[in-house]
Amino acid sequence: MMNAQSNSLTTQNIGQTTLPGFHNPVFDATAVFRTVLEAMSHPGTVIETPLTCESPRKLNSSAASILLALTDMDTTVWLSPKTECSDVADYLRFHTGCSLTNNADHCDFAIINGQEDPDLVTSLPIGTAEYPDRSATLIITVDHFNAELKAVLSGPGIKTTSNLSPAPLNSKFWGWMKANRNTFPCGIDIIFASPTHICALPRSSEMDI
Amino acid sequence: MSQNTTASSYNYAYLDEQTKRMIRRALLKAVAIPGYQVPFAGREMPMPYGWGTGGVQVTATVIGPSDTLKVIDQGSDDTTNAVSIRQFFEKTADIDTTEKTKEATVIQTRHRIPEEALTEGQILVYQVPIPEPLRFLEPRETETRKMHALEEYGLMHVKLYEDISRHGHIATTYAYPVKVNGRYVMDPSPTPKFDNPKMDNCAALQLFGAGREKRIYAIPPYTKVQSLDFEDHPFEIQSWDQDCALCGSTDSFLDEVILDDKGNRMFVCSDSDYCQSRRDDSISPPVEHSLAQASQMQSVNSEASK
Repeated sequence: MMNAQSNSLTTQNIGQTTLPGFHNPVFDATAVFRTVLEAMSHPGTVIETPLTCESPRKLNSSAASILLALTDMDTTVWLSPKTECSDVADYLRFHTGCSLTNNADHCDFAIINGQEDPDLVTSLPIGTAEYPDRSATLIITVDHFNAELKAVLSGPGIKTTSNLSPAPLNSKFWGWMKANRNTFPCGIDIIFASPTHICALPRSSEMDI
Repeated sequence: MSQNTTASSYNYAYLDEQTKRMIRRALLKAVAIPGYQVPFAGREMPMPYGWGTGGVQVTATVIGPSDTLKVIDQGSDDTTNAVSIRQFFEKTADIDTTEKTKEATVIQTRHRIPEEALTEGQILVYQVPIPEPLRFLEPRETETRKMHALEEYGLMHVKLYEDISRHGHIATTYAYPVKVNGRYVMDPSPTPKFDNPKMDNCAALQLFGAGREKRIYAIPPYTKVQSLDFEDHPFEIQSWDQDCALCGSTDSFLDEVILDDKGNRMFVCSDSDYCQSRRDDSISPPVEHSLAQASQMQSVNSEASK
C-alpha cells in the first residue's frame, strides 16, 4: 500500500480519510456557495445548509461543507485547539488539498468552536487599509441559533434589523465581534455553522447587544 | 449527471472548479466590504475583453442548474451581446433562460438596470469596463488604492465641480460615481445616471465583474447607495419631453431611434421586456404610434442627447 507521506506532492501530508466528500462536487459546491453568499448578503438570517456531509466528529456538517466548497490548494486553514485533530486535518487535506497552519496570523480560513476563547483568534489577519480583502474568514461551530442573548444587527444586507443568536457561544465573543466592526473596512467575516444551518456576520454589520 | 449531456466537453458553466472557488472567495469578500474592489485572477474567456468577460465569470460562478438567467445589453434582450451570452450559458450550463425580469433569478446586464423593481433573492450581475471611479483622475493604481484607503475623495468632487463651472450643471450622465454605505466611492459601471436611484436600498444582490481589470465588487441588498452631488447642485436624473412611442411609458429610460436621413427619430423604452410587457398588459394601448406618427416628433431636444 502506498504511503501517503512518501508520496506527498506538497510539503504536507496529503491526508487519508474514509469519509466521503461531496457526492456531486460541481453542483454541491455551487449549492453550498449560494447558501453562504445568501447568508453573507443577509447578515443574521439563519439559512438551512442545502446538504449534509459525513464530517469528522469535531467539525459539523455545515462547517465541513463550507470548507469543501471554498478551500483548495490556494488556501491555508487554521484549526482551533478544539477542532484540531488528525481526523479533521486528514479530511480537509484529502478532499480539498488545502494546507493547514498553526499560525492563526497566516490563514485564509479559521475554524473555532463557539465555546472556545476568542483570544485564540485575535491574531487572525484583518487585511490592510489598501487591501482589506486580505483577511481571514472565521467559521464558528455552534449547536443552534436559539440563544437567549440576541444581538441586534443593522447595516448592509439588512432591511431594518435582524437578530443574531448562536449558541453555545463563549460570552467573550460578543465584545470581540463588536470590536471587529470598529476596524472596518478591515476585519474578519464570520460564518456561524450549526449542524444544519448557517448564519453570517460580515464585518460591515453594526451590532447592538 | 444529465446536466452535462449538452456540454460534455466543458466543465459545468465553462469555468473549472478551482477558478470558481477563487471567484467565490472574492465574491464573499466583496459582499462583506460593500463597494470595495476585490482583485481576482480573471481568466481568459471565449470572447474578447470588453464584451462582458467579467460579468460572464461572475455569472458562471454563481449559477446552478435551478437558476433562470436573463441577459440584457443596454436594457434589451435582443442585442448581439445579450443573445451571445444567453446562448453561451444555455450551451455550457444547460440553464433555463428568460426575457422576463420577474422570472429571472440571475440577471446579467450591460449598462442598464431593469425598470421593474428587483426582488429579494435575485442577483444582478454587471459587466464593468473600468471599475476604478478615480482612474481618469489618477492613473496610478498604487495611488487610487491609497485614496480609497484614506477615504480621500476630494478629487472626485473637484471633477464634478469643474463640470458645473464649465457647463453650469454636473455633465456626467453615465458611470455617475456613487458612495456605498457611506464609505467607498464606486463606479456603478456605465449605466445611465437614471439608474443610480435603483441601486439604493435595492432588494436584490448586485455583483460587479471587470474581466480585463480583474476586479470584483458588490452591493449587498438594502444598502445605502448615494450619488455624489452638492447641496446647491443636487443629483438629478435624465428626463424626456415625451413618452415611449411604443408603450407610452412616462417614467422609463428612453432610447433615441433614428428613422431616416431627414432628421426623423422616435424615442422608445431601452428596457425591451418592460416595454413589451406594458404593451401586452394594456387592453387598449395608450397611443398606437406608427412609425409615421413617431416621425412627426422631431422637434425634440431631449436630455437624452446630453
